[in-house]
Formats: sequence, structure tokens, C-alpha cells
Amino acid sequence: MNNPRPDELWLDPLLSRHLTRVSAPDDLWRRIQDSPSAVPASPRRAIPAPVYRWVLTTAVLVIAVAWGILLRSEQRLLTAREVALQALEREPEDLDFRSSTGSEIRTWVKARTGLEIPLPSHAAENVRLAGACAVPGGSPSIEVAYRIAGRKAALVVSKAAHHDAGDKHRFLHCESVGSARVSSWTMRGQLYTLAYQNHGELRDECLLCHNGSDPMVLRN
Amino acid sequence: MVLEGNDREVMQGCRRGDPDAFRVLFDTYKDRVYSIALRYSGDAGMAMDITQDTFLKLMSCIAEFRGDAQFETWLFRLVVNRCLDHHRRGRRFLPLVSGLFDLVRVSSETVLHELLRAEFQSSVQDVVQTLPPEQRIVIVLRYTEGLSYEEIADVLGCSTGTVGSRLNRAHKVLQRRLSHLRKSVGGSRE
Repeated sequence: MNNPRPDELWLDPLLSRHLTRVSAPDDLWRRIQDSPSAVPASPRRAIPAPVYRWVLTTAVLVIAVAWGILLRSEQRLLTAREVALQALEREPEDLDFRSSTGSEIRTWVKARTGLEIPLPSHAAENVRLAGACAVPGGSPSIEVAYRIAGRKAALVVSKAAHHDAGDKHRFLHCESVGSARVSSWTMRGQLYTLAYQNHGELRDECLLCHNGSDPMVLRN
Repeated sequence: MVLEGNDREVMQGCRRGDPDAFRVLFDTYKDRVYSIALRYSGDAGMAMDITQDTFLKLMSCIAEFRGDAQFETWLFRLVVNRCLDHHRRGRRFLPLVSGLFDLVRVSSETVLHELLRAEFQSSVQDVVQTLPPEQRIVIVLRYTEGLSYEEIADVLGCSTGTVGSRLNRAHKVLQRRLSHLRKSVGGSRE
């Protein structure tokens, strides 16, 4: 490949002879040492490549896990939203357990799914409990159907994707879907999704759990 | 040099910032780095600058060298980049004349011989200086370092075909401009 032609053969030895390697000047090392950017007195420890790889892998894993949790949480939120909207259309005869007493529904739910629903034993005056229904799916989930001042409402409760042990409501989502409104929040490690007929005021629907004398309705 | 044994220890020492290890590396490669810089630039002062820059760069980025490639190839890339950088900065590369000053010290018997040699060398170096940078660096790597086409291609990050064509073009120019030295080489085969 690209070998010199016979009439060029004189060039190779000429170049080899006149472009030979030479010795570096003796003061080169001193010049390098004297340079402001020369080797530092206390050398910086180089981080070996495996450490970089380890850090990078960990960071990717953390991001993936966080993303997974977020996605799962979002999916649960979407699922609970759909279930709550469907529950709003359900008739009382379609419920798994029909009762107008809070304590009975609470006990049934606890026995069926292990979930704790903070229904008071005596509901507020306008609240008419219809019953509860287990939501088919992987994780335990329950819906509670009720009417308030004649309007339909449904509360879907399931385990939250990430544990929130606080007593306060941490609102996640609120939207209007047609004539209905959906709100969701987490509390004590459970995800609550409330669907109700939109009338501009959420406060009445809160009476399901907060029976009027409970100030949490206003705080949260 | 694929790092093995002591070389690997030296490299690890350099990565830790050990000045002794770096000194070993410097002593091993200083002549080769300086020679490339000198033959490329044609100026001793410039070659010193390029060599100094190359080793300072080596100090600062030795951790980036993984050890699974040819260290020489990696080092030569640093030198070549420094050479091209200096060229881009527009510095004038002066003809090599420092060797002539050394003649003052040699004995009278050898003065003529050395003078002729220096003149030849100066002439070859001057003509090499006229080559475009990409041809010049190929010539230097080929004749100063004796690298193969494949090794030059590795250093420059181009194909062997490109190396071949650059060498070919450089040869044609050099052949024409150095034809007056042909007889003195004794390589005439006409």
C-alpha cells in the first residue's frame, strides 16, 4: 500500500536520517516543575473508573426506582379516578355490601380488605350511606357509596404507593369530569379518591367522614 | 506499549499524583515527545513549549487513560494535538538553526562534515516545514517515530487510506524540493 516507487527510494533513507529522534534538553523537567500548572504538592486523588461506574449505576437505579414509584402512583391515581367515576353511576343493588351504618361498613371493609376507613358511627344529618363494594384488582381497594342532600357520591380507598403516615390530608389531584368532580388525597398510608356530582362545594361531601363537628373539614 | 507489570504500576502512581511515578513516565517518553514536536515545528524553543504543554496535559488527564489501549497512541495524540494547536495559534515556526551553534564546539576536523550534515538536516527540515500540517505530522510520525500506517491512523483518528494519500502527496512535494540532495544520499537508481 503506497510503497515508494523505485525512483522514490532515495527519499525514504533521506527522511529517516534527517528526521531522526533527538534527545530532549536537560532543563525540560525543571521547566515542567516550574510551571504553575505542574503536579500539585498534595496530589488530587484520581477517582478510579469503577467508582464512577458505581456512582453512575446507583444514580440510574435511583432515578429508575423514583420514576417507577411515580408512574405506579400516577397509575393508581388514574385507576382510582376511573373506579370512583364508575362508582358514581352504580345503583345500590350492585353493591357487595349494603348498609346505612358507618360502623357496619367499616367492619366489613376491614374484614374484606384490611383497610381502615374513618367512617364515624353516626353520620352527619344529610349523609345517607348506601354500602360498600370491593374493587377487583391486585391491591386491596374499596368503594363506599353514599348520597348527600340527594346527590350521589363515592369514596374509593386503597393503599397509597408511598407510605404517608400523617393524619393530614395531602391533596394530590382535583378535576372536573363532565358533570362530576374528582378529588384525591393521601392520609395514613391510604389513597382516597372522592367522586361527586359537581355543585361547586366540596364541603358537604366531606361530611361522610367528618360529621360536622370535626374542624378538620375546614383545615384540610 | 500495552501496560504491563511495572508500567502499570507507574501509570497507577501517576493517576494517584505520585511525582516519582510521573518522573519515570517523563524520562521514558521525553525524547519521543520532544522529537515529534521538534520535527513538526522545526524550532527548538517551540518544541520545548509543545513538550512542556504535552506533559502538563498528561498530568492533568492521566486518569482518563483507561489502560486498555496503547499508551503510546494516547500520548502521541496529545502531542499531535499540541502541535496542531501551536500551529493554529499562528506562531511562526523558525528553521532549525540551533544545531549550527553546536558546531562551534566540535573539533576542526569534523567541522566540515558536521556543517554539511547540519546543512542537509536544515534543508530537509526546512522543506518539511513547507508541508501542510496534516501532511507534515504524517511524515514526522512515519520517519521520526517509525510508525506503521495503521499506528498513524490510530493516532490521527483517520483511515489508513487517508494516511497513505497524505504520505503520497507529501512524498511528491519532498521528492521535488529535495531532488538536489539525491546524489548525496547515494540512492540514485536511474
